[in-house]
Amino acid sequence: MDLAIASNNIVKTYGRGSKAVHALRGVSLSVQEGEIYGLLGKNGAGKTTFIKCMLGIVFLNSGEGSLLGYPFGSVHAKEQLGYLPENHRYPLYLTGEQTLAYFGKLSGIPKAALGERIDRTLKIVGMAEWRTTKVRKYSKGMMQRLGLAQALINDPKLILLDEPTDGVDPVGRKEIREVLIRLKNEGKTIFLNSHLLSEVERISDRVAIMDHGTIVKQGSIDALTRTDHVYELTVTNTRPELLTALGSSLLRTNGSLLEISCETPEMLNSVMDTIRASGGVIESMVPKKSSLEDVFVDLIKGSAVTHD
Amino acid sequence: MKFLAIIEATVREGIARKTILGMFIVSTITILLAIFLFQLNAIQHGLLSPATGHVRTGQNQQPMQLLGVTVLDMMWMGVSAFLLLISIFVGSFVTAGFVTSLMEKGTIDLLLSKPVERWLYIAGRYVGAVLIILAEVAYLVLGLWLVAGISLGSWSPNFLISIFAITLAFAGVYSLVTLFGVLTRSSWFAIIIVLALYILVGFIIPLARFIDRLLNGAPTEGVLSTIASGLQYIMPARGLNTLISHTILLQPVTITPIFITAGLSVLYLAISCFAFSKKEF
Repeated sequence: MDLAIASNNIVKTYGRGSKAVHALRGVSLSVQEGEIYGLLGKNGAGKTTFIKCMLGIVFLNSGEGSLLGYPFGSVHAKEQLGYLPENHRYPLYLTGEQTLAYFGKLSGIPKAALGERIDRTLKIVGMAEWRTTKVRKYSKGMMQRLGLAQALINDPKLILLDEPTDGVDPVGRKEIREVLIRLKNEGKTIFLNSHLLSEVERISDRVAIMDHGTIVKQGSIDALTRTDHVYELTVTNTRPELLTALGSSLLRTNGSLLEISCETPEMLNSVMDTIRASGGVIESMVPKKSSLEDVFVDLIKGSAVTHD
Repeated sequence: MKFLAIIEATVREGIARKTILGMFIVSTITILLAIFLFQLNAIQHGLLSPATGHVRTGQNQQPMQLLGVTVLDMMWMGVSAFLLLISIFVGSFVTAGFVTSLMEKGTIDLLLSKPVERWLYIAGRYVGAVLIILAEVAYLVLGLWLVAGISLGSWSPNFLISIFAITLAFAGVYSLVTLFGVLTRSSWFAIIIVLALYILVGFIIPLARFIDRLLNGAPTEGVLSTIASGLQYIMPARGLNTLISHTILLQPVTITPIFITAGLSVLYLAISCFAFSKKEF
């Protein structure tokens, strides 16, 4: 599968000397075509700067990157991508339809196809009935949908979204999530910047966690949240002597839920034998998973210690 | 298509800001005032009275002569000089924001994500602003010209050169406003800097001559005066008012100011585009 985004050791520093701000300190990541990729990080971690580097809004100090096979900032790449920036602003005197027409023309959509594109895009984001309303009357959520619509107006292969659900109510968030999943199913690649971990966790195939301008971890949600060698067993009919017998393998208990640490499969089998031998009934056993939030917080804490 | 879209957006912004409407209202009031004034006998007599030496040929009245110049021509020269000044200053004030609004946070990111070469945004905004002023100036000049022609029966087609010259003068000054707008990202700073530059150049020439006289003891062009005089050639729009006056008076006209202003406009616009393409947002 081709890469939609490839970056290699991107460095971006704002300012010089003692006032220099190291926004990106060697960011390397790759996004496959057709996947939803989430970039997580605290405010100020460098997420937006990375997108700006991709689009050529700011210039790299060093490193290289490509979008859909073209260098970062290339007009050819921009023909095939859509971008929803954070805190975007549209001319308030235009209607939703006029706004999309403007951005559609800038995207190079032929006049003959523009009307149909506007209709389709407004339908996708659920804004068809507000098409002739002036943007100044839009709510924050509607503005966000309009932003998504302008990002989709040129039927892009790659969609870059910076905090797409910012300021949107829970219902609106769900709808935006559904739109993104539908777009992924249509084969679009989506690069999602967010600090809303649960949003990203729900829809992303892979994520990267960024802190202080570096990628501290990346991988699939499954790989990131899996806790090695720790299992959760639901056991009924447990007796106090069982807990003693499990010794240091037992990390935690919570009613019928036992959290067990086993370095090897043999150890795990041995633990299960011990439970059965004590009369316990194993109802289920699953490898323990952390939430993305736990992983994120742990990584950021670790990274903060390093940077301090 | 993309360039036209940017120009169209600029004009729309002008309409939304009530910029164009405001200027059209003022222009319309001026034309209505002219209609009223030209109906007054005193004004008509002042311009066309036979007692002051005008001649009547057939059905046509020829305007009176004053110091070898017709009063009507003097009026046209005064009007064109006034319009030139107003168009440059008021025009620059009301259109300066077109360039800086482009660079506002939340707008610029969106625009730069589109497959449009950066310089097109500046060029499109510039052309949009110039077209707005062209429309305004054409409306006012044509209106005044028609009113005067119908009221006085005297047509001065040369006055219409003002449309071109005033727009060119505005385009020249606006290229500087655009440049400083791009560099400072502030329309107010841009206007203040450009205004200060014109005032400085206006003062620096007599000042340089004065210093040269003090140093040389004779009213000759010294080094300072030569440098100061040279400075005016980097300021667009200089000499265009003289060009209009000479055209109205049917005197020999040098087109050098046109080339200088047009050349400087292109130069400053090109520098603006270059600076914008190298800017980070």
